[in-house]
Amino acid sequence: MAKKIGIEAAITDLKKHTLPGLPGDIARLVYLAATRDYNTGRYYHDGLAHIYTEEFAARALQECHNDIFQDLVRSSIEDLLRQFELYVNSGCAQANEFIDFWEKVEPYRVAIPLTSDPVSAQLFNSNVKIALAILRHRENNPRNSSPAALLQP
Amino acid sequence: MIPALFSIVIGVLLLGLLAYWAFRGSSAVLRAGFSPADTSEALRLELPPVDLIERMLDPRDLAFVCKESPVETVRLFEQERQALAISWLRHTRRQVGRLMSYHVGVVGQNINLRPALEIKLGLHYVRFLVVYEVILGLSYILGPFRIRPIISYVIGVTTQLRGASEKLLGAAQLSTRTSAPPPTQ
Repeated sequence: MAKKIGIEAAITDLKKHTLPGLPGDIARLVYLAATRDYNTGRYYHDGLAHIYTEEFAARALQECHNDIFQDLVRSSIEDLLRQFELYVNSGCAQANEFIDFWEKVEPYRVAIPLTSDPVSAQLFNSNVKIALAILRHRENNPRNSSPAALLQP
Repeated sequence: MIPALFSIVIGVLLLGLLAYWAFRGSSAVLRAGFSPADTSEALRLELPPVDLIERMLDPRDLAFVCKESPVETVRLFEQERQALAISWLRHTRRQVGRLMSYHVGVVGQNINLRPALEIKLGLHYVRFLVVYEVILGLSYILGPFRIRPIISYVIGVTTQLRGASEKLLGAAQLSTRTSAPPPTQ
């Protein structure tokens, strides 16, 4: 019971303080995937571990990672594209540079949680591929940008 | 005298045949690495959620991609969706095949065999195979979005199979519990 309360508190902390500061779900997914060790797959966050223990922090990060991923898998291509525009417009990189890198290296494949089923993973990869293609088209033809894109900062 | 001897020989031969079948059934299950403990694992169908399949073939995505992107991207999108639909169909087929092969291996040993349910499961399986082949063929010919209305039929048949397997799982777990030796310290 205490364990569950500890994990819940860590999740609430993440959802209330850390994740809202990030620009959109793509940024959140990248952030949470980056807290996972590339060699072991174990999640680690220094600040959370200090407050809630390493185990609770890892579980909280894993659950939030799964939630964000499931939300993105179930988004329409239009919503996913909006998330990408939000991410790129936050200043993480130049749009063309970002699209080139994501299309060549496909880092989004590493951002998928381990517990996701194969169909979800395939659908996500496919949607990202399409969203990037539309994003590239919009970058090359600025007049084709949707009103939603023009509203972004 | 001779007819009696003949009957005894036939009886012994039949008993031998029955013993051979029983032995072959159990060794097949052991070879496959199954034990009563993992019955529930083997009988569980691991299928993606229905809403995910509906999302995958949502026509609003197709409309958006057609509106926002050049022809090459629309073509890429259709190819991607077709690959996904075929992959999902094959995944479902593998899962159902796994369930049925386990079932065939175990059914000879199950003392709680329920013939009516077995026949029902068999009929569901045949129906599933027919529907699977038809939809797989149609997805190649017509593309994924046109088969969307009949995808729900596959989901329906698979759900029925899952229901039958869960009933059998209940029976199998019952027979496992009653036949399992008491735990030793």
